[in-house]
Amino acid sequence: MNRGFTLIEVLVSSVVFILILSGTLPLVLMSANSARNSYDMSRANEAMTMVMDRIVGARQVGAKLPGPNGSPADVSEAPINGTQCYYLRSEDRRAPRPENCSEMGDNSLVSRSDIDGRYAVQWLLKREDQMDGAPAIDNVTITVSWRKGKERLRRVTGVARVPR
Amino acid sequence: MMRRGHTLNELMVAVALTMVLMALIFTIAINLQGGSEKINRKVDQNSAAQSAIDLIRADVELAGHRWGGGVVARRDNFPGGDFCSVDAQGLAVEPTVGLIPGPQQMVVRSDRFPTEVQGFQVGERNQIPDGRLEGLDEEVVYAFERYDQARNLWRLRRAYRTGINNGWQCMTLLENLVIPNDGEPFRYDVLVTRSGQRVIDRHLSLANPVMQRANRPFGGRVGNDLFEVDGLGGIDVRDFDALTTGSLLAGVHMRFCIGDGRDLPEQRAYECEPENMRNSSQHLRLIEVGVTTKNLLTWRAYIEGRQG
Repeated sequence: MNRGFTLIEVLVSSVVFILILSGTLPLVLMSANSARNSYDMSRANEAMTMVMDRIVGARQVGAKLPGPNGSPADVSEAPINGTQCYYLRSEDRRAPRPENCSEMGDNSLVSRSDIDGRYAVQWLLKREDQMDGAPAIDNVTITVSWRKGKERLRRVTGVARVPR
Repeated sequence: MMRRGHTLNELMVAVALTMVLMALIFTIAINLQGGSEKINRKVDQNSAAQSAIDLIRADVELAGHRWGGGVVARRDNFPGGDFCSVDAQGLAVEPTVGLIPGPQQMVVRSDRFPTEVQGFQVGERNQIPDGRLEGLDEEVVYAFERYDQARNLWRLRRAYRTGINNGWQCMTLLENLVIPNDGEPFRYDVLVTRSGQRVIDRHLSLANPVMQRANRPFGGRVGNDLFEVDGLGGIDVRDFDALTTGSLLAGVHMRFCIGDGRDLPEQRAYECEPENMRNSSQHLRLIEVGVTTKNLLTWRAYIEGRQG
């Protein structure tokens, strides 16, 4: 009667055990990934809130937010008709450039030294056209985007209605 | 004849393999534990930083747009060892409501309530801030303080009191911080009138040219971005005085790095370069946020309180 294990059996069981343990590694990586996502997301939210608050604050005190070298005179001004889109480019070369949107260098609203270079900030301006009576209100949509990994583009978007 | 058991060699090989296996298991377990601790630490750092930012945001927004700073004292790298012993005489008395800027220190005074509380009814008179600090108001000091000279580690502290005659209460909001190498964790957005138009100059460093100046972490004084205000040419104390009498603060830009306080190789000092984090020390994360002043109501109440 055979009692005990052969060498092959011990080796096979060891390999199986190690494989099972290795299977838990992705869980750790997932956890690390979610922590990083949370950090990226909270900073993107901060950036979006900052841009939104600056537009609201400038409107409150009647301040203009000029572009680089004073052009345009106010990067938060909505056109009479249609939409106007500006963006501050990400320093991440993999980040796509928004279509139908004018690139804006460092300006009074937001500059590269305000936020991490990975983030791109896009703001779309239009006069509010969804409310009766044509009120003197502008509609501002702010999007902060960043490249995550090889392909994925992540973004947070906020919309504000501000007095003209 | 059936074989029973193993030879000594087989057993020794089996024992050796078992030990190798156990070593692998322990290594994996230790790495798992270390990894999850590191993750938790970073999550905790984010949460703590976010909480501190939210607190500062609330204070700045309530303090309103008014700013001043004629006589801000930083004795021995104020607030020094005994942070809670804030000397009221050492702080500027103007503005009574608003914000007193400094490169590593910020004082915000918010006029949150009327002096006399009379039953809360929406729209009732005397339910708005009265523009004076004598009532149930709040005065808050935020200061970055270096507690580890060799490693260049700082903490963010907060002292507050609810009225001039009340004692200060103090707390440490964050530790294991590294302020930027230029010595300016706080920079200011100031509303100015230029060519007849109101515009906002951002990221001004407002070191106090009158009293003791603040130093950068690795030597040298913090710069001062005062701009020519009085029209006499040059940048001097008169410009600073002019700025304290009528300008409006549009916001504060905060930036600092946060780490876990572990020793760097060769006991090097931590460095934080927000403009290019590749030049910063390892294990640091950049916290960078712009806060906009909002409380026009407080500002208007202040103007009414001082009769224009």
